[in-house]
Amino acid sequence: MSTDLRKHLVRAALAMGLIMGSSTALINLADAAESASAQSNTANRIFKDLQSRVLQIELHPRGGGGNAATGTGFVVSHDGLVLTNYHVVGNAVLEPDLYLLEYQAPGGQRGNMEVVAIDVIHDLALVRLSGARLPPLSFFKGTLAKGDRGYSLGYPLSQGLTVVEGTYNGLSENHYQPHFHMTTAINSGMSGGPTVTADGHVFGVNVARRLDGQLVSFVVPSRFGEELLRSYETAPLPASGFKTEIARQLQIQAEAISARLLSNSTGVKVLGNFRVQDMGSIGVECWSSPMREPEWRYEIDDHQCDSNSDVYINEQLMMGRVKYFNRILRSDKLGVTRFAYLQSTRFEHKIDKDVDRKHLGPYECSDRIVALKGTRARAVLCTRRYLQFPGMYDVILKLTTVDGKNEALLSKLTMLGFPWKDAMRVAQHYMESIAWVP
Amino acid sequence: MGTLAYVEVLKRNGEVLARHAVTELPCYIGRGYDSDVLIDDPYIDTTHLEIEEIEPEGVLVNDLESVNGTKHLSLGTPFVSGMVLPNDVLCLGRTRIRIRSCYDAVQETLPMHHSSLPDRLNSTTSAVLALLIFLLVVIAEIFETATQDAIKQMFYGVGTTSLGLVGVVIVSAVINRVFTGATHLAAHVTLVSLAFVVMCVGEAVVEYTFFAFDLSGTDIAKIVVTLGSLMGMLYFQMGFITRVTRRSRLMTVLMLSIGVAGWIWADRELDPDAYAKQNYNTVLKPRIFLAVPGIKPATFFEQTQELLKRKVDDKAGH
Repeated sequence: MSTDLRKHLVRAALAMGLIMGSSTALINLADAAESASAQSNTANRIFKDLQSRVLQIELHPRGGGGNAATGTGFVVSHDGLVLTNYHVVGNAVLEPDLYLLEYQAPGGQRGNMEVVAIDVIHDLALVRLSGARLPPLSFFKGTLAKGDRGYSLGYPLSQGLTVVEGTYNGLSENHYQPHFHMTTAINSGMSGGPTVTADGHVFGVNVARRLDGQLVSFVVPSRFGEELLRSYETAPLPASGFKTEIARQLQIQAEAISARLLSNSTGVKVLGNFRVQDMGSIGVECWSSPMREPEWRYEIDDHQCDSNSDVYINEQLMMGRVKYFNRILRSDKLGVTRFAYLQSTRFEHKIDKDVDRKHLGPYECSDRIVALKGTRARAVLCTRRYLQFPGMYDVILKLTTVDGKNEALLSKLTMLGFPWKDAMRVAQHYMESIAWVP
Repeated sequence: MGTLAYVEVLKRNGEVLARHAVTELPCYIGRGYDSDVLIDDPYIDTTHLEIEEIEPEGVLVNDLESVNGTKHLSLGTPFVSGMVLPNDVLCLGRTRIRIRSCYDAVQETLPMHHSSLPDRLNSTTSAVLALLIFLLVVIAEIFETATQDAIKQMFYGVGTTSLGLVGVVIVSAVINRVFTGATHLAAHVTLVSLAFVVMCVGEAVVEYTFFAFDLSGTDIAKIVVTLGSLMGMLYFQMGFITRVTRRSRLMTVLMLSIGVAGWIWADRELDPDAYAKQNYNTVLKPRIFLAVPGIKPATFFEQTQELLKRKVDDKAGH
């Protein structure tokens, strides 16, 4: 399984777990037992201190019925502001007509809550409790060292408030947005809960867990929560403007990514006789896979990179991600025509037919023969627009060289949820950096 | 008394089908068994025409108040009575005749190879035509591939096909006119639609064989529609060599229109994705077909992005 696919599973599964509430697929009893045995007195004290201020957040369909999703939130201000993950409350933000938010405290008190500020890039949201006034949790101000203890609180799979002890392991190395890597058992339903130091100060917000590993969990550094709180207190946003706000935040991230991709710091990667842009410098994850089969009369070398910068918008939408895929096709045994045939079939472009008509318009494409450095290529530019987020597009640039007799480059650049101008500039830069150097 | 003149019954292309000798005057031409020159055509009268006098400059002919009348084809006017010149053709009902008098000058004998030229050219003509059609398909393909652009592509598709057809019409008309003398519209139309069929079958086969394209449902629909219209036309035009009526001409146009409309419909509606797919699917050709220099990446983005953005925005209902 490619890392690309695995990456999808992390978020998708987390979101799915939230929707299904009690999805058994995610319960890992072995993990739970392991964590439970590691509990200490500190965990005991933290639980007692904080339990009244860590709430379960429930997303209900307005038409009645049970929970659509559950998550966790914790109090961060005296006037009833609660910090949680954006992905816990995302549906209520995007479709306020369909969903409403409620909270349930460990004591059993219930009440309504509404979203007042969001930070989709870091997957954070501020919600306001109606009525209840609770003392806030305090944020951690110092720095942590790898190996420090961290205690995560939340309501895993609606099992009641739980505290889990784990180990802080610094910044994750393959996330575009800063995430602390925690070795602990964060499960669906704990999203949005606090991860605190032994003194009970919040240093992270529970956000995700890798499904393909053991206890590899991630928390959002709490400073982003503090920033969100500050910006809300200085300039609150009208609830009607959330979609524009999402587009604005995505745009800022896209601009930052684009600037890094366009800067000269991106290097050059040599693949066979081709030179392509190397995006390694933007902190993306890259991997190569040569493919040789005895019965094949050709060779394939793949190289692909992924920015891992996707931003969760809802179950269907992940925006703000760049990835590219380069394939070198080489053969000494095939004639010109048969090689061209092979290249044609490998160049096939199957655009996803199950287009999400609710969120995305249809793809449109345009294609030409372009003159690159040292070779010509057929370039295909495809794009579609996001219906709810003005100015955001998916852009795919595919190209394949047409001059080599027995060697060809097939390249695909994908940008999901990017502003038009940035996407076009990145695509052009990407295209211009391809060269044939036999 | 010797022969005074001959009444020649002609094919549409001018070839002589039959010759009747005129031995006495007046001479009556008609369907009746008492006529001097008997012509088997239900649209002419029992006694239709009268040859009154034969003179060195021409023949004096009268229409005997026939039901369907007589037409002077060389002048293109109805004919009642008057002098008919040696090369004039008259049309009675559906029959064409020419009257040659004994005063007419006999033409010089042609050497043998001249007279056999058209026969030899017929096979050459077909070969040239086939080659021409194949070249047109290839040229259309190159243009379509090289300059593919959403809007331009539509024009190139329709434009190159139309241009190709016009070219085939002109070439076949010229060849027919020069070497066989045929000028019949239906013959050209049939030839053109045949070329149409060859073009699409050829294109599909070439694409399928060499370029690894899918033979899509649209391609098959195109071939079926075109073949259908051709069959229809052949059916209505069975007797096009000897007779053409307003009805059959109308039918030809109608069938052709249905064929073309069907083609366009099939292209756009039957497989709506095919149109979009064409743009970005496996559009790749061996180098021999890529005599296109290629544009700079900057030009590529200049040319495509505005159009693309407008289309995407339009489709998204912006």
